[in-house]
Amino acid sequence: MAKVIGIDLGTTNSVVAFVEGGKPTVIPNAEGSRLTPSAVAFTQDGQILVGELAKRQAILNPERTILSIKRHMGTNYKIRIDNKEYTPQEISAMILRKLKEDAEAYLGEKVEKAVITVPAYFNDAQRQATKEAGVIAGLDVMRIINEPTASSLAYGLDKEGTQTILVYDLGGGTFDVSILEIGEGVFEVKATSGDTHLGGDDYDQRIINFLVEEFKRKEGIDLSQDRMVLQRLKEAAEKAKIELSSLMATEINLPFITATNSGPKHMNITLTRAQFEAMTKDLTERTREPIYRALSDAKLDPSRIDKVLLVGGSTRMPAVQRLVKEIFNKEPRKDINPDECVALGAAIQAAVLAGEIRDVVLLDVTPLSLGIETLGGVFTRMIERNTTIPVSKSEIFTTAVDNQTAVEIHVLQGERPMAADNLSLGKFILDGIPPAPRGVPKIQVTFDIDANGIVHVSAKDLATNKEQRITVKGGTGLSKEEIDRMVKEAQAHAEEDRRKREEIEARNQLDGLIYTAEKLVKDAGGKVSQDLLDGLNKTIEEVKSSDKSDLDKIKELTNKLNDAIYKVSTELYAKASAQQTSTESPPENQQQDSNGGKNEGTIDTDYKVQ
Amino acid sequence: MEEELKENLPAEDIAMIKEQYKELEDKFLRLAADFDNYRKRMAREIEELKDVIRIELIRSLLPLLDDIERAFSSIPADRDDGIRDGIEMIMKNFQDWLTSQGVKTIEISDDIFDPKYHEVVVVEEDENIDKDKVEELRTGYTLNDRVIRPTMVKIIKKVKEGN
Repeated sequence: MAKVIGIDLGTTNSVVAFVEGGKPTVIPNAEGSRLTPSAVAFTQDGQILVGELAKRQAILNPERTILSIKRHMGTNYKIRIDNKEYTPQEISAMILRKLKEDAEAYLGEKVEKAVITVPAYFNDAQRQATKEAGVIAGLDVMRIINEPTASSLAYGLDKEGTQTILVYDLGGGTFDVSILEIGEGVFEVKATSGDTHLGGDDYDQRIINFLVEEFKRKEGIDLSQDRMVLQRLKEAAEKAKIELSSLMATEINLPFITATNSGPKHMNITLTRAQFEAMTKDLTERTREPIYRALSDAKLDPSRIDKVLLVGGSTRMPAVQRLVKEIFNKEPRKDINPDECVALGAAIQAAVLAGEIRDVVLLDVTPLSLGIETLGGVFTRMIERNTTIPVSKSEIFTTAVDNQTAVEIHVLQGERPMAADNLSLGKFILDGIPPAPRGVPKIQVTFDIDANGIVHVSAKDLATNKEQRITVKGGTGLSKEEIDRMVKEAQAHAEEDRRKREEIEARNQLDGLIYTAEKLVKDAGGKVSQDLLDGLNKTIEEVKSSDKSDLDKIKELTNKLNDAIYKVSTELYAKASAQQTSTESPPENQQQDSNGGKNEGTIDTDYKVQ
Repeated sequence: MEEELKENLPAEDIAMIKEQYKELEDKFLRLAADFDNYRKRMAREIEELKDVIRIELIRSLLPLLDDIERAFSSIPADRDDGIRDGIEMIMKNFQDWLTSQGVKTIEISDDIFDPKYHEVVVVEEDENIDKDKVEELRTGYTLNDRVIRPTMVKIIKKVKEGN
């Protein structure tokens, strides 16, 4: 079945998206960009250029380059090129055809059906013209939907019950406000308002003007007449505007911006966010009145708006977000890329109409990480949070002490590194492990979460194949609030938890090293000088009886013990190589032991001996 | 299996189960196909992404080269204290690095304007030329046939006398 697409046919830019595996995705155009300028040009030699290419030649060919055709949709406006007349829908069709062809190239299959969006205020003639444009472009237009409706779909608001939402859409050149009522999957437009000539480009222009004036004031030179310089200023202005959405100040450094008889001149101007907001305050304020007009048309008080969605690239500006927050006294939704939101929603609508969404298997994720408690009370993660289920994962663990015949598997969920801070889901014991030195037994622990979110945990001794298991029903059945709280707590305690864990790991390592050292004393008996062995024994006793409460102290003890071990093993090596021919080389064994504290690949689990 | 069902279940239940089986199989096949296509496209996209990331990086470095070039051309040609030569060497090192990355300079041939590679920022008119001229204002570059940035050009249009 051919893919269906959703198209945001914008005044300045257009975007195309499709749904895959239940998720909408933007399709990049042939030039590799996710936004395609809504520009069409007829070259002198009869070619038709669409998008970026049309823009690049616009000033050479202004009377044959068409920008913002959307403003003329549904009117009798005609464009005359070489004695041929074009309707707005024919021009729009050229843009749609490029989007369709680029989508086909990207998807590797034919695209026939599409959903196209229009502003909520478009009348029947304008909607009809948009539909015609689609048909001319060779698309079966399944439906024309409102841009704010598409945004609501992108945010999944249709699934949240009856509510009133306001969509604040500030794009490159137009501003739209729409109030919608959503209930039972039905979208009703209650009011629309806006400003057809207000957008991000106006903000850029303010910065350019500021730079020109500043330079004139400082250097007495007017830069506004030089096209090439203006081009540099335009690029710098847009970059500064974007930076000021995340930084409090930005530097505009343009060396060799111009030259006089006395030599080259450079531009070096610092622009703070406060300055930028002051010089564009009137632009941002111009969005206030349409909001109130829409509210009054819908006979609603700001407090009656359940959600506010920010759409359009210019809503990334903090001043815009502040204004919206101030009016509605609530955080607006802005988590979906505001440039792509409308196209993503259109793609969802297209997939629903084509019956694709229904066929999608809805996959769930684990809201919190799952794992087990290991040596020293550490929480060892087996399945990370946000993993799509069903999923299954195995890991091999081992014992913590010699001759340990049973292990306790403590299953937990949460985001904190220490087991005690997480939520216990259950425990079980695997016994009957044949006695062996620590680190030798192999115990395979398997986590399996089925499609219903039920967690099965099993532990198997690979030597005897003896197995125990536990099933945690509703293990992930926490409320959204509880999950959020747990995730937030983990973030808040991140630093302190990291230190605690580091300390325990260091202590585990030291314990392993003591074990290694004691083994070395036994193995090396009679093979090295008694003095050395006594020295090592003394160090072991000292380390054992020392206070191991802080990390630095543990590290110091670890180094001390390591030194004592090295002294013994060095002599052992030296002796061994002297009598190389006589015995199987024991040093190999020793070497392994001296690394033992690191426990390559296996993790001791805190299995208590029964 | 089929035999067993026939024995124990009424015909309409069997029909329903068959229907459900078909539906599930269809869902499964669609998902498997979606995933397979996704995997293929990801493999292709990762390849392309390597270029895209390099293009982004190189594009963000180009203004520095522009500045070095501006610095160089602002030094009088007769200055011989070594500064000019030094700047020229920095410029050359930068350009050599671009070449080693596979970056190519966009050339303007025969004064032909091509919007695929050129962007017009200035248009002028002249009576005293034979045909339209295309002048480079800022160098453009490509990587593997993808435009990193188009060459910025000035076009001088030939106009007839008395026009």
